[in-house]
Amino acid sequence: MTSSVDLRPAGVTDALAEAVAGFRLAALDAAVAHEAKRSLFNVLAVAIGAMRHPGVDAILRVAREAGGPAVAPIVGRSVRADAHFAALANGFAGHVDDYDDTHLATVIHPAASIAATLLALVPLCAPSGEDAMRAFVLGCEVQLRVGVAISPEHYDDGWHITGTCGTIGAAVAAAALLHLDAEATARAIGIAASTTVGQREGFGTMAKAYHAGKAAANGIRAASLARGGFTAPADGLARGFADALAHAHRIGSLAIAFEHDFELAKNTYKPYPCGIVAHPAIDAAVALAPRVPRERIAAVAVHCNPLVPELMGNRTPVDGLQARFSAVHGVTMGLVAGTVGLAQYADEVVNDPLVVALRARVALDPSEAMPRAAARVIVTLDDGTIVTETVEHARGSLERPLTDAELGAKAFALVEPVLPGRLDAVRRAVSDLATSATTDALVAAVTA
Amino acid sequence: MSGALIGFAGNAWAFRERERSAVRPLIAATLATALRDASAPHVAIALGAFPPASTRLRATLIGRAETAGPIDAALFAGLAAADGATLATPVVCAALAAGEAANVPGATLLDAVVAGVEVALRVERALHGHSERGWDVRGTCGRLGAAIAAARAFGLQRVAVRNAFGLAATAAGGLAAAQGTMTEAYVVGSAAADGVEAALLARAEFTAAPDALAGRRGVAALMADGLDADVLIAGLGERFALADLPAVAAVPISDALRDAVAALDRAPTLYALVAATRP
Repeated sequence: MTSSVDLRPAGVTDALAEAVAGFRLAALDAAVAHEAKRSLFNVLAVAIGAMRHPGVDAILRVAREAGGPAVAPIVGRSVRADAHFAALANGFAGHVDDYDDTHLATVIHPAASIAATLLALVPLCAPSGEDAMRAFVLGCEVQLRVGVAISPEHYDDGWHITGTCGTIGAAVAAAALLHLDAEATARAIGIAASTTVGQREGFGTMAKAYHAGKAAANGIRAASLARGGFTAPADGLARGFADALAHAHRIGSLAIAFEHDFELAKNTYKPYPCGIVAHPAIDAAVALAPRVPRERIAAVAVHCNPLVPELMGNRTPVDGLQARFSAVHGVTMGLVAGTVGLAQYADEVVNDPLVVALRARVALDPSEAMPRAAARVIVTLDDGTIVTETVEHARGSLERPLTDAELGAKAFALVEPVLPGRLDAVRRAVSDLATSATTDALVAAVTA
Repeated sequence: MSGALIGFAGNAWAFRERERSAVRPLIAATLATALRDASAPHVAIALGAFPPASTRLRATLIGRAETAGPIDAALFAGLAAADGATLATPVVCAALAAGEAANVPGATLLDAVVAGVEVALRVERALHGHSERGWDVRGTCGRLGAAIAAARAFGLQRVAVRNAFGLAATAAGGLAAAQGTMTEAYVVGSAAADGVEAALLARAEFTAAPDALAGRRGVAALMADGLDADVLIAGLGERFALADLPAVAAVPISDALRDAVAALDRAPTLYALVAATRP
């Protein structure tokens, strides 16, 4: 373990907190600012689309039983909740459909926990639009940078990096909204480091999306305690956090300055609501659909990277949540539906006997020779005809990012069924946020 | 492997006097410490940050007149009881907050603490190299025990107990590096609070990993060098790890608190115990 040799420069947490406190949104590069807007827009649309999930109901039920004054907005709903439960509900909704943003180098989905932190603190902090966007950028960027410093070891060890690094990012976003100075921000990070959340064992259950909500709630608690003068270990990131959470890391060389090289600029948006490693294969399946009559499919071979069966290896999902970790389900739906959206992950679709039968004919054929970004799908028809499609880079990857128009189409499909006619208001509120006096328009646009 | 542990913790059997007698001193010492430190600076900061609110389910804040929701009540109890805390401390704090909110009889509180402490202790002893990796066992094993205790207090059935355990497991945390700062107390308090939160969410049909302790990406795999199955589950319900708990730290205990704890087995409610934690 790297902990045995202490070569780290002292005070990486303090240096980071100094940079956070000194960060000015006006100095942000236009391309990064645009990506921040895309990240916020995407996650709000995804959360709105998930507002009817039973997990949101469960969180709001507990909020009614055990929560304080219901003042914070819940995306897609008319009810409110206290800051803690609003953070849990909005973070959960942003991540539960596995349709949110992904920073591919770390596999962090940064926006759900940070958007949830922001919405939860709106009543208490009444931030200006600029404060809100500044906090969003900082919360995303810091968690991504911390993630980079402990990747790939941390995720490979089994941690759900969205929850663990999300807790640190949420503490920073909350600290920004509470206008903490550098010293208090460093303590907020140190407190948050003792309540990180997220083990990959929870994948395929509601626990996975709970990680994003809980990261927000824990980040808010940490910053709130820090504001009151609560003490924390010095250099919380370098002392304890990184050693406990990764068998090897480079936390000492954490990127500090917010001048260039923003990780947030490399955020991507999922075109399909499932684990991202299966997206190249699903792309290939969607491309094949017009050429493959579903009743004639005899066998399907998916040449893919070994991470696909490792992370998405469920062959017999019994509900939509499990299907999100089933590459064979995604490929099957791509072939038979020609599109893979939320509808293709409905429980009744996952259990449709025709779908079950077709899934059984899809085989994953993993090989280290196949890059993570690529896949080849080979369909054998009943007369022996072979049809093949190869994808080098999935739609939604850094090489083939979703265009603003594609992102808008995705958001429309999510928002329209829940808040009809509201998409333009959401888009405008996000787009204008940094120059708005308040977050009122944003809250009005995303709530029922 | 989590299954056997959940089966033990989730059945509603009453425990015997031998086990109950082992936890009475833990309850008394935890509450006496919390009562003594209820106005300590770190507790005052938390009270300022999270003002007690009027809620449908409520539990009394130890050492104070107000009530709060059971999650916050467990948080404040854990913060106040943190001086000299063991992994039993979050369990007691979660059991009391959940038990008062659910209006359970005294015997249920005792059995919730027995089940929670037994699970916390067995997990701690079964995990190899866990604290050596920098974890504070009160925030990891203590969190699991707190969820079990709260689940019993709320009367959860087996699947819900398993989900509560799974939720607490995925939130297991707390760094030894925080020791000596106020964050150390927060490790204890957040473990108690998360145990109650996990039980309430599980009661509302929230789901979590079925094998959160021994699963391939679960607590043991991520936070320890290994898990000793025998230590974890052998003789569950027959042999009790809590039988050989070290004596709790000496802390002055009022007569009212001592009497209320002694009378728990026969108490129809927790009223007398809660009254003994008022200033």
